[in-house]
Amino acid sequence: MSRLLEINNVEFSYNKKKKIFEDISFSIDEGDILCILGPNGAGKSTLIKCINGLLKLNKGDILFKGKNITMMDNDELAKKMGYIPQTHSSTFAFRVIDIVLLGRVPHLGLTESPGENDYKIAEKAMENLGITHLKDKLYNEISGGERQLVIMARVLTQQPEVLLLDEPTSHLDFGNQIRTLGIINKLSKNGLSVIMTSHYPDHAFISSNKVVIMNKGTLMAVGSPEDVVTEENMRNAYEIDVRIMDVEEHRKTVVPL
Amino acid sequence: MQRSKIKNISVISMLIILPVILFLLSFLIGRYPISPLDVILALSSAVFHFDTNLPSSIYTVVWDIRLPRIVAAMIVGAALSISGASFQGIFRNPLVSPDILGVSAGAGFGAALAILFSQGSLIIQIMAFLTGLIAVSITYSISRSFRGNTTLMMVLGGIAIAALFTAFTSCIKYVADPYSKLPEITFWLMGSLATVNASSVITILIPIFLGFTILLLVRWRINALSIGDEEARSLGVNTDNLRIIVILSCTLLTASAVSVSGIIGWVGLVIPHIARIFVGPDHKILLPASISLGAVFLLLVDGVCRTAAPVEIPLGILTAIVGAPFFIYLLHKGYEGWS
Repeated sequence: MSRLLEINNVEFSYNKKKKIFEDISFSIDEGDILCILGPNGAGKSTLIKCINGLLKLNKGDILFKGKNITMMDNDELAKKMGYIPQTHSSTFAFRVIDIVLLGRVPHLGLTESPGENDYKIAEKAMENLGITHLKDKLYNEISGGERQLVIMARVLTQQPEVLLLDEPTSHLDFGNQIRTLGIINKLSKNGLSVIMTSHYPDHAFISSNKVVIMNKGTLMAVGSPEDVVTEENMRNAYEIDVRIMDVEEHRKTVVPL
Repeated sequence: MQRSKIKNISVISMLIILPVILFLLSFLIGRYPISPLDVILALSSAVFHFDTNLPSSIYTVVWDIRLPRIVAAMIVGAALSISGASFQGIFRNPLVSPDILGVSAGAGFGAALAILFSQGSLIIQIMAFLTGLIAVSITYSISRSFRGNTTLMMVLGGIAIAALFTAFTSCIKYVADPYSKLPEITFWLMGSLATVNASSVITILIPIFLGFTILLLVRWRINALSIGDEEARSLGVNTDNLRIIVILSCTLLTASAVSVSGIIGWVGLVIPHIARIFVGPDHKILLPASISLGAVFLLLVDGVCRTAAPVEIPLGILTAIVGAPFFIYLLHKGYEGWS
């Protein structure tokens, strides 16, 4: 039986000389939350873009339910995977609802524009994230945390099966970071699978059941958070000393020394 | 909520009614005075085939002189404005005008060349149209020969190609007869609708129709391109295809417009901004609004050109003189958005 998403021995480079990453393999199943950790420049964001088909692999392949993603059109892929980039901005002062509605692009033909049903899906996504009140606000004038939620609503409006989140918590304050992770947990309970990158090993403990650690373009470790986020691995990846401690009965946390 | 809806409806009805009213009023403007009743009779009798006892000179003025000019002003204004709005969207840059890829400079060269070889107005128009298309295709192929950021390469390539064609035009002006050809070339480049006739309008109808139709069909998707290539692709947009479709349509429109009117700057840059003040940046509403406002604006300005001075004022000069202060006034009032 094939997994939901399989990444097999992938390798990528912008020019042929320097490889951004190589020999990376892992897989996820329905409802999994996989957190990719690793220092700056490890190739995390590039890997996410490759999984979303935005960049073409040199070697290896990525299979969605057994089907190679290079065999899929842009819009077919966009119905399966939703992607939230690290930064997003808009040159023009779109209303929030206009941004959220763009999630319907893969479901509409080249000459179609959103109808009543598409509006309903977009409004439902905003309701689920508690941002209905932002609907007619201008996207450029809301806060960074609100913008993150708007993009999240857009990606849900896409109705994908996998979410690819590139540092969903960067630019967010402490409270919004934890709230975002809570939303991600809730989404996965509803059957969505998530792959996200993070700079905080703690986020792996809070909201993931699988962790990949990348370092210098290679796969350092893959497994459950408890097995992989270890004092030794943290030292190897980030070159700092940490202690892993229990905060509650079943939750661990990473404390820098 | 209710109030914003009423405002939306009133803005939309204004955008529909205003061009119609101005279209009719424009028939009254001109050296030969015609009463509103005579205009209505002359227009409707030919359409519905009934007899009037109007003198034939009124028919000539209404049908052969004023109608082509009014239609040309509306088409040119609308074409430049919708192209400007689309280009600003796909290049994600509010400073872009429809001639950013070199279409006007190319068309100017073609027209100058045709004038130099003493060709008639139809040949001038066709040459302008074709060289406009050629200039944009060169720009486009240059941008494709680079890897990476093709949008930036396209804009930079367009600037280079425009400079090159402008230089060619200058060469022609330099060798042209300073008493006959040179003034004609210069006036053509300033832009004017004074020489427009029915056949020059009919010549551009097909490309104009194609351009408008295609842009209006894909207009909602331009929203996705306007937030960035990578995001658009992750949303399932085939960005390369959509961009070619938009560029091709805008080029057809701009080349057609320029071929009848000469080079008219400022309209394609500014009307989209004015439209955004009224209806916001959603291209689904912005493109139709740009069509309406562009047609209205050029009709008004051309009306002034025809009547303000004993000699006709070149349209291209007046679009800037009328448009720039008006634009600054609107900017002061501020972007209010749609709702």
